Amino acid sequence: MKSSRQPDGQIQDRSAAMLEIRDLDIKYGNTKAVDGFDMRVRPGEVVSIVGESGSGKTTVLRSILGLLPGKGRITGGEIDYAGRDLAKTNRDDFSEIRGGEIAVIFQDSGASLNPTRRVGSQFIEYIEQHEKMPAEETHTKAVRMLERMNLPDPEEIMERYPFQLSGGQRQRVGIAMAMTFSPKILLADEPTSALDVTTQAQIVGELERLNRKYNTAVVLVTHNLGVAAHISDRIIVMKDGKTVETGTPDEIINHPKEDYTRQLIQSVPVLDGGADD
Amino acid sequence: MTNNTGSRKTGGEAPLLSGRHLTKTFQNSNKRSFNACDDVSFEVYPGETLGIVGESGSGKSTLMRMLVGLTEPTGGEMIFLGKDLGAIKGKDAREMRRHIQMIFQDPGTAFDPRMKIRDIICEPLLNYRLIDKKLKDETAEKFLHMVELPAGFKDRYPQQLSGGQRQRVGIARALTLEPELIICDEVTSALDVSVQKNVLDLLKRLQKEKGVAYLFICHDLAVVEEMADRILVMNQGKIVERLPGTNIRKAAKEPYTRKLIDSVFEPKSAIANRQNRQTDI
Repeated sequence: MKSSRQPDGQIQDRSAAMLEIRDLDIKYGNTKAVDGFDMRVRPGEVVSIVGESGSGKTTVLRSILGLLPGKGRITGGEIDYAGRDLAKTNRDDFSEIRGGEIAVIFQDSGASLNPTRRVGSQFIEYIEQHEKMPAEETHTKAVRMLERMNLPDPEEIMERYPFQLSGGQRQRVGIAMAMTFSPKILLADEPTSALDVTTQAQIVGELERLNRKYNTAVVLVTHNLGVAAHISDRIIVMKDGKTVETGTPDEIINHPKEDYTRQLIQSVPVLDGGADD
Repeated sequence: MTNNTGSRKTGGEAPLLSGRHLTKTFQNSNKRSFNACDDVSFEVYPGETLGIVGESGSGKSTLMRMLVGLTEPTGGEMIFLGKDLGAIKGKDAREMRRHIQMIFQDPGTAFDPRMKIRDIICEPLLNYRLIDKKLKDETAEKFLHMVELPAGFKDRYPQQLSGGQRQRVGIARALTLEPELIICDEVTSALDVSVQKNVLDLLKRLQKEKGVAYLFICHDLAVVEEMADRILVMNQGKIVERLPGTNIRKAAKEPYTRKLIDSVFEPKSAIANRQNRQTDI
């Protein structure tokens, strides 16, 4: 645990937010998908956005890096990152931020890899897009990143095709790639939802480790309240594009103010009816 | 043969379904064989829920596919209502299969998108010539009511329904032939938690009313515990542990089951664990 973190998850550190979203509105065509969303992310902080399908949680995350699909567009508000308003940044201008200072991982990172090419050549190409360096160094860097993600025999992984890896291995490759340029913020969209429970626990462990060791801030979008409660400093609960409430995990899980949050918590099936708690 | 009944007191009641030493071996091009299901034996009794929990590659889907006749077992037998499902063919098999129905993970992909809900619900009954075409409306309404959906849904297409509503239609369709056993394959895994709870409650109510048995396959231990009278834990094609349907946290002995339990993130215990970790420092 970081020394700045109190038992209730509150950050004492008053350092300024790195990323601040104010009053964000997003529309798909004429449909409002996100309505008046606010979020502050400080260095090294883990903020989770939880909600059910259609809540707008993924839309918020995608908007940060200009990755809104099709007819999606930001119609109001600001996304302030390092003095820039990302809400008004052109799609082309994101390339210097994306993958560098802010990186992203998805539900199945393997799905964004080309199935006909070996993992290694894609990883190397990704590194070369961001940084010019001699070929051997690029290779070494890729292998070192895979190693860091606790992938056994990284040289072997480099030679494999994406489909030859398990879901958990592919997700580790995705995180390794995202972490290559020591991003200040890692955006994670349901990174464990497609994984088996034991693999999910490992990947959550890896995210925690990266957060602590490299002080990488994490914005985690998840429908899994348990994962959010485990890893976050703050949780934002969303429903139908609006923020229902925001608080520390203890506030949200043990003292929810809103009925919707309460219902959500009660709907989560727990072992032994929660008898052991 | 019958040493695998688990903890249930049978009271002389005959099992509805017995799997006996069920094995499915696949062979790859290098002539290396691999047991997707390895000597799996179990019983399902009338009106109960047998839960099967396991991760990907555990063999739970292969087991399900054998039971519904999509995959032929390499070894072992499946006795349903006293008959060996593997040995009966043709008309008899068709008649027998009526009694075992299935509900899938995502009915959105299981339904024909061009069929209206009315036709989706009535299709099994028409296949078995159990109703006249003229009765389709009436029948669809009856089953929609049973799964707590408005009668007007009969004129809709699957895409016009939410995931939870589609799953209710899947349940309605499975009930039409009044089966003794319904195999539920990850039926709530694609649903939001609040919707999941409602669908589980519906399944429980229908079981109480109709006495149908469920073979409930799911990767989520807590969901299985909520539904099942008894639970089988599968890993790499084998049954590694047999558990009662309650207090599995205490009952579980096998390391693999313990690992599964320890991997679950529950909201309240996650907070409690964090607070404990904090005070330990």
